Amino acid sequence: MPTGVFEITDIPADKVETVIADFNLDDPPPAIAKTDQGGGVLWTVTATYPGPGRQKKKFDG
Amino acid sequence: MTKGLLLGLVVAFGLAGCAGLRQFPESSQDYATDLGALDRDYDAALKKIYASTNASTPKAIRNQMIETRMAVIDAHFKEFQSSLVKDNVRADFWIALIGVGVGGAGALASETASQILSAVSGGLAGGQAAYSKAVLYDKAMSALIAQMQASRKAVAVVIFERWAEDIDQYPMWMARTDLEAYYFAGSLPGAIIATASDAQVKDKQAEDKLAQFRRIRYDEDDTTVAIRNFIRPPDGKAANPVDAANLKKLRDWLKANSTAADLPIATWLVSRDLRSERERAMQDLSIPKP
Repeated sequence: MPTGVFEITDIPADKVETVIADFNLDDPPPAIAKTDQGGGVLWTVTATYPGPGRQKKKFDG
Repeated sequence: MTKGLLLGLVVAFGLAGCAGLRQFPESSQDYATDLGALDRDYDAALKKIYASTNASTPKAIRNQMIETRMAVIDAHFKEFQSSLVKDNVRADFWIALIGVGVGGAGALASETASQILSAVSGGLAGGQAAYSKAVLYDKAMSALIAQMQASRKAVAVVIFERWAEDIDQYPMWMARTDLEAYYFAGSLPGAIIATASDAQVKDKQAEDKLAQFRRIRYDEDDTTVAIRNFIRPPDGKAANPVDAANLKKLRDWLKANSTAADLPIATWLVSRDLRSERERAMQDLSIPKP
């Protein structure tokens, strides 16, 4: 299981959602952020493991 | 504090048991007399060395001490090893594992042998393990014996490498320390500590390998496209539903074959350095070219 932060840079705009979908293939999926590298041409996707699926739920009661 | 040191402390505390904790080893007021009492042969060899006038004699005396002691240590180890595989020591072994804090050892080192040890102590504590105790015992003991043999060989190599050195380069005290390390390598506490240390080294190597993939450039190729199509048929688009069976096949393949374990699938799919791995995966999983 991956841990920590992984980044993929220089992603063409039309591939950003595909990369995010690829990151979401991991179980549990990571927390994901995408950043425009300038002009909306190339993007960076940052995935942080473990994602929300592995975090403890807050007790509200 | 390193994991190895922490584990050493755990083992040391475990071995100390309930006896009062001493913070210092014994201090001597008469070293010459104490050495004669503690290690008569070593004391006699030292006296011969300092009395000798022939330049080659000290080395010969030292090497004779090494040969003698290694032969005796080996004989005792052989007997010890045989005793460990006898059925009637299983119960004692489990109790010993709790005594040396193997539950803690397992948590400190993510390595197969230590996981087995951890499972053994878990099985003892509450029957959490899926295996029977006998199977766990055999697995744990096999792992520890293999570790003892490997560690003994490693120390023996060090001693052999220094065999031809003169007494100034490889003095008696150093040879004696190596011999003690050789003896300790063939013990259960020695094997447990070595297992944890090896695991720590392997963890670091794995992390170093992972570090080069933490930030990579997007580099899609035909293998990326083919594997995406395999996971999200027919064309790998993000909106397509995932083929769970194919994803499982890929995950299993990665677990068994990838040199960069614990890598996100997304990173593995678009890293230029991992193209050959993707080609092998395509071949093994019969993934058609796009």
